[in-house]
Amino acid sequence: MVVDMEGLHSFIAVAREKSISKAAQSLHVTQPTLSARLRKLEDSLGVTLVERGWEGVRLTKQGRFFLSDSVQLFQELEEAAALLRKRASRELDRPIEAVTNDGRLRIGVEAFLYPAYMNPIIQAIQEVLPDVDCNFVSKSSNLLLNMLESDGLDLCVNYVFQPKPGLTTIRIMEETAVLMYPSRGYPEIRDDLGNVGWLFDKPFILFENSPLLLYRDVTEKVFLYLFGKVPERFHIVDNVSVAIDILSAGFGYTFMPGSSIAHLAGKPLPFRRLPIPASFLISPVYVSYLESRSARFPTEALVDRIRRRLLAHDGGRFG
Amino acid sequence: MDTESVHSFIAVARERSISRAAQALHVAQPTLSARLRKLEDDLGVKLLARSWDGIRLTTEGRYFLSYSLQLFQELEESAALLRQRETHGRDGPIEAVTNARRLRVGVESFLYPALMRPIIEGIREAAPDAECRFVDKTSDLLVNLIDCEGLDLCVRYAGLEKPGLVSRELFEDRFVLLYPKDGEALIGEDMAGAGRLLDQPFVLFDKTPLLRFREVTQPAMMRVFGAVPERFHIVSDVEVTLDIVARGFGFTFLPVVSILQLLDDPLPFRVTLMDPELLRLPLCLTYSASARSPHPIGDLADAVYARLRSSLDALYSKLAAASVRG
Repeated sequence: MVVDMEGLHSFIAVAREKSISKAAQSLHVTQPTLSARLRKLEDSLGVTLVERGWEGVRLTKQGRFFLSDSVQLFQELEEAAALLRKRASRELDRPIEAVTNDGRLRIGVEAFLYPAYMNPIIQAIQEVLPDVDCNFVSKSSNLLLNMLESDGLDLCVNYVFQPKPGLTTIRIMEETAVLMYPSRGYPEIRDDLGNVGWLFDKPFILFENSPLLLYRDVTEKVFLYLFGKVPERFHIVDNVSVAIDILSAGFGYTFMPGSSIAHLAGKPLPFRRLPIPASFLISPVYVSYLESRSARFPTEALVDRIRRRLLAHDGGRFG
Repeated sequence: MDTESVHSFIAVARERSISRAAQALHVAQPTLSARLRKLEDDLGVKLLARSWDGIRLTTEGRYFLSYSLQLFQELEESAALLRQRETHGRDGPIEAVTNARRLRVGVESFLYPALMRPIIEGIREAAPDAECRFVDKTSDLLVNLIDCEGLDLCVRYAGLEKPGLVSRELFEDRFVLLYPKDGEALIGEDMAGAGRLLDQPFVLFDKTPLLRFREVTQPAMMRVFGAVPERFHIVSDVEVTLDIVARGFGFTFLPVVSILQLLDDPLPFRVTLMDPELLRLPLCLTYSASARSPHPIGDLADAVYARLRSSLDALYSKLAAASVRG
């Protein structure tokens, strides 16, 4: 389902102005029009975003959650538009030329994988295409595949197998999930997970958006496997490195694909780790590319080299 | 900018045909064409090239598409989560993400690798049992989020300012030149010989820094290298940048704070502190004076501020030692 953009714009204005009438003024629409647009958005989402009370309007908690993504949507899109306008006015020739240049190799790497795997991926590119200029994108697997399909990327390293005509997907390896918890202030969890229940009262570090959409299929199953119930305390993060900082500070525990921390190999880890032996947690890593694009670059040779470099990589950030 | 047009543009790019896109969106073809033209007029560039064998994206169209896709997808995911919450009831995590009692802390994307630890320590000191939501975004976006109460507190670079927000300056960040261990002579703080780096690609950040290219980046490039580089790698993330320079695949300059977390180990590249006259960025802690929050935001700000100050001072003196003098 598509989010109603007019409604979204109205919602952001109301959140900013904290008043329907002021928001209507700032958007140059009438108050009833604005209210109708808001209601339409709320209906399409199935939740109430704005509460109309005595002292004005305020956001519901769902409204607050939705707000940060909405603000971001508009701001980032406006910035991309501002860059294009500068290009149109020939104000920024060279760097914009570079950013919008078709000749560059565009590589996407799943956000969970890039801290550990950027180094071998760059090494593979240097070996096959030493003189190429690149555009590196780190996003969720689903988004990378969407970008690949609409020709926004040349290849991507991701977690999702999506059979599509014209799309080649090569399986590189499999990884298992690893339970991670602080060394200080926490007891050592036994290999058989016998005393894992101790973690239950500590905040679980939860990744938002894309991973959260898989909550039913993955995360909830892990909670039931470990504790027989769902934890009640959470920290929310959008980034592997922040999760690692929380772990290192002894502020919470989590689980992640094992390779998310491969870049920390070779040094004493500032937290403890333990593989979770559950078969539903095995996730293959793929490289995907569009066959029709392979004429621009020796994509097959590059993919093969990336595969070999990733398999040979024994961890370590800059190793 | 008209977002309906942006959505139409995504549909055309996906379907590679105006008529199929019109069908998919349930609008008439002339309506769709008008929306696309409006978007192109607004941006001042052509996004689509119409030819006898159909529609294809121009260079600018491809650039704009990747942002449009990304943002719509993130929004769709956020909407999907809200809908899931309604259909599945009030179970743990989705409730947790949408929970307004959570302390929401934003950290500029250049800063979180080095500053997350002291920020967490400050939070634990003032609110040890708080459950948190951490977001890393660009500084201007963080300010907009505080302004509409989407965040409680953020650490960011000065730039966009709004009435009603309290900002306390933490530090004045400088820039550092980062280049590979290439066996050539070291580049000193006078930047003599830095021009030799120009045969490699410069690692350039897309978006916000690029918008200030002419005012900020370009003059600094002229002074340091004597020219604007001709080759670029484009990135959207500090960590990827560090990997590129460490592998000898390019060079760049970055705010000093973005590499402070690496100083415990031998650096995988060379660094030279740049003259603060070339580039400087005040770093500050910002929160809303009027926001309704269940947390003691003033106390939290004090604790986080104190932790950041002492850790920035310690880290910065380590960096001065690692930089090559002229």
